[in-house]
Amino acid sequence: MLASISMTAAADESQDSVDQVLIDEDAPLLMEAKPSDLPVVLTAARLKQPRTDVPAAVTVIPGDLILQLGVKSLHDVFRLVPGMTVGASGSNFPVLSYHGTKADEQRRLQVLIDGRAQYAPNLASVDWLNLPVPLEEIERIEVTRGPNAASYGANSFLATVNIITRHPEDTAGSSARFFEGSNAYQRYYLHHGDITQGVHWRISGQGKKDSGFDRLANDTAFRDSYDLDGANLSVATSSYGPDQLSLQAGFLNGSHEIRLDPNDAEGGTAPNQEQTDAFGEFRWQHDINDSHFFHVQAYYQQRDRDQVWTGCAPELFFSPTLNQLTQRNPGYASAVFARLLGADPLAELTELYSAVQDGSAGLGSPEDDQIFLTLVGEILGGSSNLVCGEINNSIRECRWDLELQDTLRVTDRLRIVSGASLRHDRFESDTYFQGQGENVLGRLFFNAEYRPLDDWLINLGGMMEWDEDNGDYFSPRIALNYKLAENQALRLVLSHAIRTPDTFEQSAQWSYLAKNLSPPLPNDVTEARTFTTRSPGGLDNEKIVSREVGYYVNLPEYGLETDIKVFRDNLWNLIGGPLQLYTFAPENNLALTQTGGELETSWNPLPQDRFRLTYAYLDQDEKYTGTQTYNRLATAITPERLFEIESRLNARHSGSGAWQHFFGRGLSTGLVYYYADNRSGNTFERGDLILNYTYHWRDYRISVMLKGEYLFENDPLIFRDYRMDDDHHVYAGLIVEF
Amino acid sequence: MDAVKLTLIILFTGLVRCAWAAPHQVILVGPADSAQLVAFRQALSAQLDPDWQVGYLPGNDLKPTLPDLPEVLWVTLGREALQQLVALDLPRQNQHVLSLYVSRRDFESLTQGIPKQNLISAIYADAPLVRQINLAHLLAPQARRIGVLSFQPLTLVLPDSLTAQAEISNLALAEAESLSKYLADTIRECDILVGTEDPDLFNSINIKPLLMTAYRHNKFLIGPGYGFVSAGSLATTYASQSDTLRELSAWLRQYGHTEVWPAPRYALEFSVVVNAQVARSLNLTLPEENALKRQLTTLEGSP
Repeated sequence: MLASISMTAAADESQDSVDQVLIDEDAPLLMEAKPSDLPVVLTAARLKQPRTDVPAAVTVIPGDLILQLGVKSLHDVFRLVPGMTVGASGSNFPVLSYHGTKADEQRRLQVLIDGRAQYAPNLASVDWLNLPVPLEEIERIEVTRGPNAASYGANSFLATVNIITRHPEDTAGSSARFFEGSNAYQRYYLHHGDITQGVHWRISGQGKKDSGFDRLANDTAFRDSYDLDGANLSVATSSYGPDQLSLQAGFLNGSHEIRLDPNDAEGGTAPNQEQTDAFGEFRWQHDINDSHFFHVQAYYQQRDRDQVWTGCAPELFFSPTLNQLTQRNPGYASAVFARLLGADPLAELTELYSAVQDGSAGLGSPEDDQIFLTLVGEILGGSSNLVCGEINNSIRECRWDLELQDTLRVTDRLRIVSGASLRHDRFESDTYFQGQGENVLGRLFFNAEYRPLDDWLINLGGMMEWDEDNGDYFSPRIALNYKLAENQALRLVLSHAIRTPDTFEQSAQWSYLAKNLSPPLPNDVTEARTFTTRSPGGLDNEKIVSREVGYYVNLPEYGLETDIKVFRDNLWNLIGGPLQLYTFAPENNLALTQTGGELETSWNPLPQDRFRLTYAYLDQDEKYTGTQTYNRLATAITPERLFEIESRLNARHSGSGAWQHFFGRGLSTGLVYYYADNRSGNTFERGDLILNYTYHWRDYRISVMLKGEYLFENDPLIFRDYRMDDDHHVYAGLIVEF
Repeated sequence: MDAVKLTLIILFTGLVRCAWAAPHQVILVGPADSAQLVAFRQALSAQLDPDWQVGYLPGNDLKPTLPDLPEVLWVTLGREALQQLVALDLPRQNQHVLSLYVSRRDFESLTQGIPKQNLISAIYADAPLVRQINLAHLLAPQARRIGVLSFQPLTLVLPDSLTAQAEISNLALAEAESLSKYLADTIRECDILVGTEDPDLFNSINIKPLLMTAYRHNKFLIGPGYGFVSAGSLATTYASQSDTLRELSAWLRQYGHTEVWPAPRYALEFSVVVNAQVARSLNLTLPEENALKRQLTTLEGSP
């Protein structure tokens, strides 16, 4: 009865109305869970580009890999990146670069942590030990290998390092980690994270120290240990939803020993650099719709370096006559310093004295010669005696930055990222700049990603910048990706970038104001300023044009992923020349041509084995394009010497190999090999063996890490002073998570 | 007296069927009629022999008491329809009920205590876990640790061939302190996540943090169902409308011969859907959907 009613009802349905309905036979007949109930979480605008579409060679180091390989310090990670080399300068301050060049004052790399530029524009450095980011909070590091000023602005010259930290959403819970090992290495990390009223947060503390290198080339101890402690806070709303807010703040505080200057050993004190780095960042991301969102980011950061000590110098340094000479003719002064600081100052000065007297020195005008002769009189009168006083190498820098970036998916084939930013930098240093200064930087940028045909992708981008010190400049990039197959792509990249001279290179005014002089200067003067070393100024931007051909292939059936890059880069207007107190002669005087190839491959033949291999070959030709004709009497600098300096971080062959094996039940091992035949003549070759074991006990996850490092070639690290006594070092870690 | 009457009816209907091949009547019971359902019914009729009649009855129209129930095959579409038939105690009145679009969990809980005796059966709507794990293996052969996500802890009974390929563990939200701690731990512990049809975990609220967290870590989710793939899950196996129609008509034809339902089971007819955009973004080059389906069928055919 009931059935027949229903049958009739069905017959009433007109055939037409049925045909009008589009039935998707591939979809299930949806009964209760309608598709509209479920939000589209991973919208097209939010999704990342696949590797085949990336317009550059990019190496991604996941945070997990850093921890699994037992990396001790952030800078060590970069040995895993093809083309990158790691060294040190000064008193064990790590330096690293992509495609080498200078080791001291390495400044051709941009480093960002969650969008905050870490490249300090005044003394142009990246303090790798002092970046306020614990290793445990790194989600991943993306290294764009090649100039990328179109995306990140000037100074993204050779490469850009992007450090992305973990979202507090991913770090709920608590952990305590302790590491200890050779060379007094100690590191700890503590964290707690939770969600309170829909807001995710994480608070953490960290600390690290080690005793640095063991000894100098002359076999004396090296004062280069450091000890840092800090804390970080990260608060964020959920990573989905139309508005995402996040707030981060942190600091790292500590002290770093500075090697003792031989002069200071006579009555001075050993300096320590007291360091503070602090930052605060606010970010708001708003999704207008599925294909359009923007973010606003504002940050403040501060970098304080206080180094006050009692230093000793010849009384002559305070001589107005010497200052007169350094101001009139810095080259002449350099020649005097070279002799004064030589092995036998008296003999060398006498030799110069005779050269000046017979007119063969050619260092300067007759007036300059007259000043020199007066100076020699002062020296013979006893002004080469040492006086000691309280001096400093302190600097304080702070920065405000505001950025707006908009991402718009115009169509399936066109995506545009554009934005603007404004930055204010302020610095204060009596020693380096005799006061304070500031700079304002404005930027406009865009990148269009256009796919005219399914297999072709064009990336066109550029950044227009303007700053008070260096004027305006434009950095463009064009890249073409051609998909050879679904999993293979060829890319052609042409990119231009500049590096602006930093404040120190461009406008140093370097002198020491000494207090409490002992013995006092004549007339009982106890406070005086040394001669001033000034930058000649007028420096132009460094420039690079990079041409790259890349090939990427991904063969999941073999677990193989490979990226190959060959390149030919022209760098010109590079600022060469010494930046020392006694000789400060920067000039846009070097041109380099770098050619080479790089390979990065990962291979997971079985779920329990992971292999990773990198290799880089780099060839560099140098050309001197400067105007200075180096007078051998005035300076030890020659073009050849500049080439040497400019290739200190270069390695002709470098690479790394890693094999991770996962035994299951929480046990895994890692075997890693690093190699770099540095142009300095010292080879870096190290093997690491890492053992990780994790077990669960009640609600605790307890892990133990053991690591052994073996130096196959115990050469000094790039410079002759960076020596290790032992060829093997061991480390252990204990991690408790709950 | 009653017994005699019943015997007569049975004999009569039996004779009628043999002699005149009287039509089998199928009544689909589902949510309020929609064009989609009309089309489904027509497509089903088209697949069956002409002696089958397919009717439709919205679940709400079922009367609390049904006088003179005709000899029909009840096919419920969805959980609610099954619930309504169960509420009317149909299965106890010797009525034959086949449940579609109901998960194994729901079917088992709704029919608890009802003697099945081949009168009530189901083609489960959720994707079988083994099939989903097989799919995970096909999509990421290098995955070492596969996490099966559910709200309540599950007892995983998996063939050795699966557990030999990867560590497979169940991670239950109910055992975690909070969703965020659960996600943080789960995503760290696993290379691939496999979802189970469990509305306590997989719903429109939880899916956002789940997918976003996984995606941030370059990890992906398989399943739990078709709707989740458009949300951002990488892929799933599921029964498409054509699959269901094919499977349903096969069951009905078989019923025509044996007059009993096979035991409840997961659909044998299935399809694979992949979110190509997510795959591309995760840098995965995946086989074509039909190829995946063929591979899965082969895997299921082999012991």
